[in-house]
Amino acid sequence: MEDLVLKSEGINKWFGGVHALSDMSFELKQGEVHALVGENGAGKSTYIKILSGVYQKDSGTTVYNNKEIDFRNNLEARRAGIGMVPQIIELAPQLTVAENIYMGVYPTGRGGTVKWKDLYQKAAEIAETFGMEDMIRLKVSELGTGHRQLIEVLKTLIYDTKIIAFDEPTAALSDEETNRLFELIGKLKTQGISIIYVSHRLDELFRIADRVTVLKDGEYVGTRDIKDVSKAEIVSMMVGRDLNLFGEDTRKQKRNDEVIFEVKNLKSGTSVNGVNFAINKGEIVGCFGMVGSGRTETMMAVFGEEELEEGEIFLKGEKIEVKSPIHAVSLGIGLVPENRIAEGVILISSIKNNITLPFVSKLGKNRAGFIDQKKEKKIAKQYIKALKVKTPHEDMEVGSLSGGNQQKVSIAKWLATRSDVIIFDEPTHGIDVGAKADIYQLLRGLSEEGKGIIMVSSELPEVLNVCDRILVFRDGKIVHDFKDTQNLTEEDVVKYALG
Amino acid sequence: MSDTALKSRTSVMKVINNIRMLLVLIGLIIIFSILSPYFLSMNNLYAIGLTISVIGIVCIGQSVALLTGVFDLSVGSVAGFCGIVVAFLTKNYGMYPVMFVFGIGIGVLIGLVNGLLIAKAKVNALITTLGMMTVFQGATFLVSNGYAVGVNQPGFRFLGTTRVFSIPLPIIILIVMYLVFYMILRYTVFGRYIYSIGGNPQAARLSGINVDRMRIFVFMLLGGLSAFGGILLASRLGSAQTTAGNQYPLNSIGACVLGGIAITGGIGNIWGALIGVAIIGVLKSGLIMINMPSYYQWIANGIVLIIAVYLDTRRRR
Repeated sequence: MEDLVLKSEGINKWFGGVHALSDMSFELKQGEVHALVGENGAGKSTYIKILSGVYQKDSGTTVYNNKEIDFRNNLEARRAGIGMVPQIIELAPQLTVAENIYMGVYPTGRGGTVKWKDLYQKAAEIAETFGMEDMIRLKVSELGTGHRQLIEVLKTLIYDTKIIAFDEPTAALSDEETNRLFELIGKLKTQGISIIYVSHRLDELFRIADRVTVLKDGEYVGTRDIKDVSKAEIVSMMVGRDLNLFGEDTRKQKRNDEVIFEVKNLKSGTSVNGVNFAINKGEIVGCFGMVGSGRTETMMAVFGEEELEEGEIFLKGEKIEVKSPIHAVSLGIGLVPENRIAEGVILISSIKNNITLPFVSKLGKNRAGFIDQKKEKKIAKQYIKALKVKTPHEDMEVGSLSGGNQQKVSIAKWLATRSDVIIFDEPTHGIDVGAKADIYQLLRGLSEEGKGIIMVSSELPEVLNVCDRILVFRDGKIVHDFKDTQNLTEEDVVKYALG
Repeated sequence: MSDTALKSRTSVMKVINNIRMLLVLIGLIIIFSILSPYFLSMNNLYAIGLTISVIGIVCIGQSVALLTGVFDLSVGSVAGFCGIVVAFLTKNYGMYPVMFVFGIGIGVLIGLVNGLLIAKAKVNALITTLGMMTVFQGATFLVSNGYAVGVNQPGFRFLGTTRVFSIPLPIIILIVMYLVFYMILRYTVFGRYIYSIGGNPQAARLSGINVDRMRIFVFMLLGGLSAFGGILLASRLGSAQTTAGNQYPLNSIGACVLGGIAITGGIGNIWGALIGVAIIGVLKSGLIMINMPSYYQWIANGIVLIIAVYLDTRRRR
């Protein structure tokens, strides 16, 4: 056991009412690449953020180098030799690579002046190992995503680093950049540094990891040597008992041929190059594609947020021109945006005011525009109940709710508005499993009402289990239209998405 | 905690946030009435009321702007400019009611320009209104050649000097306007849009609210209210001063924030602004009563503003 650098046991972490980590455990050997996998919300990111001092655990112990640790902040962790490469890169774009690497710990002389020569020399030494010494005088803004990620790695190396945690490092990288990153990870390994590797991309694990630990709903499921495990096994460990998440399968019962929404030869900007699709009443249509495939941009164009260069849009057989989101809403199109806090809800407003916002102008009692308070309250209560929003009353601020319940409010708005077509952009992103199941249920309810439902999602399990049809986007076009999603596998869909 | 307990606690918290500033106001009144026996006299209270009536009206507009997440530094210049234009025209051509409407119209027009620059041309609100502030300070001097414009026509002086049951008309106007705007902000669709835009403009836009148009309208409203304030002031004094509104930008924003309207938008109500204005008025009058030189007022106002923002920030943490 002497080669164990880190051992966590009984780790618990709560966020409000959400139990993000529950008696979780984890072990890390020296010089190994240890993958940490699990579905969204399984607690992977939470755990590595606790390790690196970004969050503090509520209970449990972590022993690192034979000492118990509980870092109060990220700097303490870095100094102790635990570095993290975050999912979202946070560098100062107008500063040079070297300045970014040494951010906050510049070598200084008398009176606090920066010793620039020392700074660049030390940065060059660190960069040299990875053949990046030419880059240290460039501004970060001149570099691509892949290189920026490598800079985040270099940043962790200015201390005597023993552990580096990567949070979804390849999410935004090209194949070539990914290869370069893996090469770098290999070098780190030979230096005896241990790697914790969080990823959704299971295929990568077989290229890079030595062992894999699976988490589910904040709990430890198991650890395997990568050579003794198959992808299917990992998936079954991740999914486990949760097969019921998607509820009753209603996909084959409904087939309505009446087209409610149609898009012809849509072109917009550089990322939408001729998109065609039609949605029938009551159909849940999934839109899948990699980042940059044009699926989100297509929805933005449909909703009037991006300008159309070419193309026609038909709603219930009538040609419409969507000039702005304001216009889209008035025509009967609703959008549940991906980023609910920035765009979906008003945190400091009540649940009621959020739900009724798109149609509150129609609740006027008289010409002066006084709102019919009774009617408004009734509608709000009705949808709080229908969507199972967990709240004592409709006047609670949305900001006081959990993420899943906030998302329900963001959705309730469009149900109450009675829009004909509702676009869901990553509707279950970052919400807990219970709320997810509620939202799938809801999508089915909407489908029964005969709405047209578009679901943009990166999570294949939900696309496969909830949608009646799947449109696969690549290079700004729809490359495949799966008209039947029964018996479809993830591989079938991904094949088209990757081309 | 039970649901009802939770509900009553949140509403109690809200009331306390408002009441805190009311207590500060009452505290100031008690202190000054101890320091000066004349402070609580009816005449002095009316004088305070008259002083705050004009800035109070400007504050209504400023509150609405702050609630949508923007503010306007040109309020004082607009008040000064419109006051002097109406005084100048009435003095030379009479027809006060026509000139009155014309003056308000100019205010609304200036607001429209502000609004278009901010909402459509996307010029930063601070810079736009700062620029317009200077423009109309200059324009005020141009119209008047740098002198105050005195007007002694009874029509011109009606709004500012009439008393109803011995209560000065401007104070009554002030209270009625606060009541009306409170109802509008609290109970109408317009009010709901104001709070929603201030709470999260992007979410409001994606919910189908024409945020740009609302912002333009808010600046027009603000321009009109500022103009009305300026005209009322000229009417009360019998002359339009070139420097009439110089302190309004700072004092109006300060009063609103003091009264619990968040500088980031979406939180607060206009009764808070009225309390804030009253605090500034009482401070001014009280300092005069205890023979402090008027420069101390400026120092006091500046300190009060910073403390108000500090309290606002801390409450939100």
